[in-house]
Amino acid sequence: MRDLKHLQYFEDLLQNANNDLVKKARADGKVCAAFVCENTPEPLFNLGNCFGVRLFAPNTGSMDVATYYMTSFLCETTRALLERAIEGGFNFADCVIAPDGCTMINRCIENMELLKAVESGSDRFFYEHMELPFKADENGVRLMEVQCRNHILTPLSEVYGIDVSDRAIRDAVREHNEICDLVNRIGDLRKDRRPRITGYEYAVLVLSTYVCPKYLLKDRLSETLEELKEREPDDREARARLVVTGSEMDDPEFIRLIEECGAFVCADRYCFGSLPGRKRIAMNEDEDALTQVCRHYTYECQCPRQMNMEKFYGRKAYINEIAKEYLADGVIYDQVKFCDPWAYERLSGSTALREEYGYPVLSVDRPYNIRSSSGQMRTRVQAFIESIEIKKLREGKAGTGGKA
Amino acid sequence: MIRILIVTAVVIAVLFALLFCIYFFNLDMKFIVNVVAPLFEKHYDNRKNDQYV
Amino acid sequence: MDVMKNEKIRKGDASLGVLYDSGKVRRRREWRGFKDTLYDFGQWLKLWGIMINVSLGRGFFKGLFRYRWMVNYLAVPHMIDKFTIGQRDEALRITHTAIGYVVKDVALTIKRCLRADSRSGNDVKFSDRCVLVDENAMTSFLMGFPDLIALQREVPTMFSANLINQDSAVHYIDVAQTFGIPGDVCPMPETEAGISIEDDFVVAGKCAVQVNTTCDGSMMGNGIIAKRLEKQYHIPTFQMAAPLRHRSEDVQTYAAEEIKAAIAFIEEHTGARWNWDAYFAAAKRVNNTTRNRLEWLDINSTPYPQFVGAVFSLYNDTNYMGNCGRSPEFPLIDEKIMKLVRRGYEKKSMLCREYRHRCLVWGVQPQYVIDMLYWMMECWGVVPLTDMLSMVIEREIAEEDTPENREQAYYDMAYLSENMIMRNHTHGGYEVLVDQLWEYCEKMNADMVMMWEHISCKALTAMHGQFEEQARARGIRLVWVSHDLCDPRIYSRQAIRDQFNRYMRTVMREEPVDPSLEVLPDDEAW
Repeated sequence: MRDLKHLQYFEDLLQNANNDLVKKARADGKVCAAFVCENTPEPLFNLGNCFGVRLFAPNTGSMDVATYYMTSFLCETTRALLERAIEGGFNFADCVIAPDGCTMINRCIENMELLKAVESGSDRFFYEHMELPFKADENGVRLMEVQCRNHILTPLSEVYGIDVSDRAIRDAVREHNEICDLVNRIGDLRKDRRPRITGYEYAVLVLSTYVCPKYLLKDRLSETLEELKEREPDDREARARLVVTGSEMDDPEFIRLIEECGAFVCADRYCFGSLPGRKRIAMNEDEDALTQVCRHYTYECQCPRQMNMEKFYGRKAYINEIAKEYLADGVIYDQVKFCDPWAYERLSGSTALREEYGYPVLSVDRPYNIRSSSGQMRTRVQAFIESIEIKKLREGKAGTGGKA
Repeated sequence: MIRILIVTAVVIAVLFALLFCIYFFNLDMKFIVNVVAPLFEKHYDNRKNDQYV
Repeated sequence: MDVMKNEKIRKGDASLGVLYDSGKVRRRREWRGFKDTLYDFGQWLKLWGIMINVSLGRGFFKGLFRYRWMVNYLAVPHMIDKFTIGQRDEALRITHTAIGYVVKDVALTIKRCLRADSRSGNDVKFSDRCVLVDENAMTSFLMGFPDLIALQREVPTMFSANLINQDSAVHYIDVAQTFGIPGDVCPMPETEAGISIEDDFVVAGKCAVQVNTTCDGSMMGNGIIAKRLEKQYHIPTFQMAAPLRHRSEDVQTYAAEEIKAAIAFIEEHTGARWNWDAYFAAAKRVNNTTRNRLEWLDINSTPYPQFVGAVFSLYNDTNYMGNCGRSPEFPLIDEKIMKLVRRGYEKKSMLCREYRHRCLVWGVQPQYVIDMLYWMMECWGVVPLTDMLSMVIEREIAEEDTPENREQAYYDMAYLSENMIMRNHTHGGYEVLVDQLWEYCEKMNADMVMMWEHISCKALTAMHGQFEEQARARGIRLVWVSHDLCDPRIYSRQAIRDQFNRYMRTVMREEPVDPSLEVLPDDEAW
């Protein structure tokens, strides 16, 4: 396929957390709220004069200093973030707001705080830690509401004078939904047997929506959507269509590696992915906006930290649903090395998807930066794709989907 | 009567001496470690359990 | 600190290394002088009495042949020997009183597990009175159900089994890893998941309540366990959440609501009704436990600590977690211990031959070498004043039955649950893990910290650098002792002790008090 006109532009935005759009928004006089974890209600950082940036650490090499502070057994994402903070890579942030999404992300931000690693130069800079619900229920919604009020809205309002009114939240959700709609319309193209976008390209676009001020992305995303409508797909179908599911993954290179082996990543259910991270937030006028946002994040959450059994079974059923919707032949369960929640979810998920839903499943752990160790992964993915092809040949059919 | 008392005392003394020897020389644990546990471990290793995730 | 020598000459064995050979158990038991040996002998007889009593329970022999973990219990006397090394007088009696009751409590749990187990005792009526509860749950939400039994099936299967036999978890860890759980997660929930996968838990109970204490790994392992309970054994499970930032006011309502939901779940599935009289009676006993523990800690902060070591930790653990005020027997044991502690303090009894350092033990202890705290005293004269797991509940809960207190009670149960042993420090922000350590050091007059670094405990190791830098800044001697909780293949016992030995020799430039203990051939031992 012909290269996308703006792909290079989007890729460039992902080379640095302090990218051109972040710089531009800061130059526009906006307040930058840095946050972590997919379970944090993102629109609440995009209120009034504020914009949210989800922290990531592209092109991570050595993590030696962070490893000293957190030891080599800690999740590589959290070590990479701490290392980048110590290097000064997040000094653009006016505050860091972090939930105890998992123990390691909490400790990562606590280390940043104790080390005073983020030096924005602003004397109003602050850290906030917040609790998240462990179950998808109304008690959880109430908790999230209180937490968002106390640890996001109040500090942003008191320290930076951000408008945190109901109206401001509705505006932010509207903008959020616009981005979601754009992303989803692009994402829907992946359902075609001969898709007009690669999984890698899509991962780049989606990731940019997490790490850039949204209002500065809209135009390019719209243009890209229009371009894609006219784009001529490749003649041949991919060797296998795969769902990638797993933990924090802000490295499109991982998707590229899979696709270089001949597969097509048709669906992305990982933290930083679009499913369900880019699902639009349904709003009504009857209930206050904050509650609705919190309800969305509480119930849509696909993170294994949600411990109730409805969610435990539901997460597997969700993968089955998207695998069917996106015509997947198989599933890759990935886990960033040393991530505890996904270590277990990878086991229960891959077993359920394989044995209960009938998908071929590859279960792997991966480094934060795939380029640091791509050979082994490539071999495993290649073998997995071959096994799917053999299965297809044996069954004499082109695309499978599961049995359930 | 005295004889019964003496016999009882002797039995108690012998029992005490025996138990104390078992206690002091750790014979209870040595027996379990060397005789009982290996038998059970063999038994457990031969069992087939229904593994399920 | 200045070295304190024990004026009282110790009777019996002087060099304790003589007790060890390369076997699985000790060469012989310790000679403690006539009186103390006789006392220890009496306790040994009592212990066998408890064990025989368990074996007479319904389903025991079936269970013994069915469950791999059962054989470990034959080695309980060996565990007691580990906990009483070098002890004489009050110290010996305190340890026996406390661990004796812990053993009795675990024995009762085994008896109940096997009685209720559908594969052993199969007492269905009894099983219907049981609620399965996580080993790492504060059972506060059962304080008002006097007729129900909190069946902590993971205690004998995993937790205490590993205190007795260092290899008890290995088989189950291997099973879990065969199925794909990586080797870097905490081996305790990994073992529990392995036991479930292997179908080696007893199958009992009308319903089950799981908790998210202690950690991410533990919470995640629960899903695998619950799935088997629900799908194969049709035992409904409830997941009760305790917020992580337990010091924050703005999470307490959430926590209290979770307690209410758990109680409603139990009522629904067992038909039992919450009893406020039982609750407040239990609350009184919890407060009694708290007062006693705080007094013991007060005494431990003087030059003459009395109740220390692994047994201090295990006793607190059993008393708060599994019991949580429900047993009327614990206060009686507390009272006995208190008498001995006060007597020892008044007599200025010392626990070992000399005190060189007053040490605070922090971090998560390795199950299979938890007795190292006694070894530290005997080998190096380092007194473990208290440990992180014993620094648990700090305030008393409402104990009078009033309408206001009935609402408060949910918050109190939540407080107990959120502050579950260990978790109250490993979660809730660095303030409770790092800052509080230094506060306790000051309070307990400690000049040294022994940091158990459980390598796969992410909550703890993630603060490694902070501990190191802050200890240096405060001039506190910090000894790192790494381990992997219940997997002795990662760090053997001697590898663990060697870390301490190295520090004492190279940093402190000291010679051992009892050189025969510095290297022990017990890596193969139970």
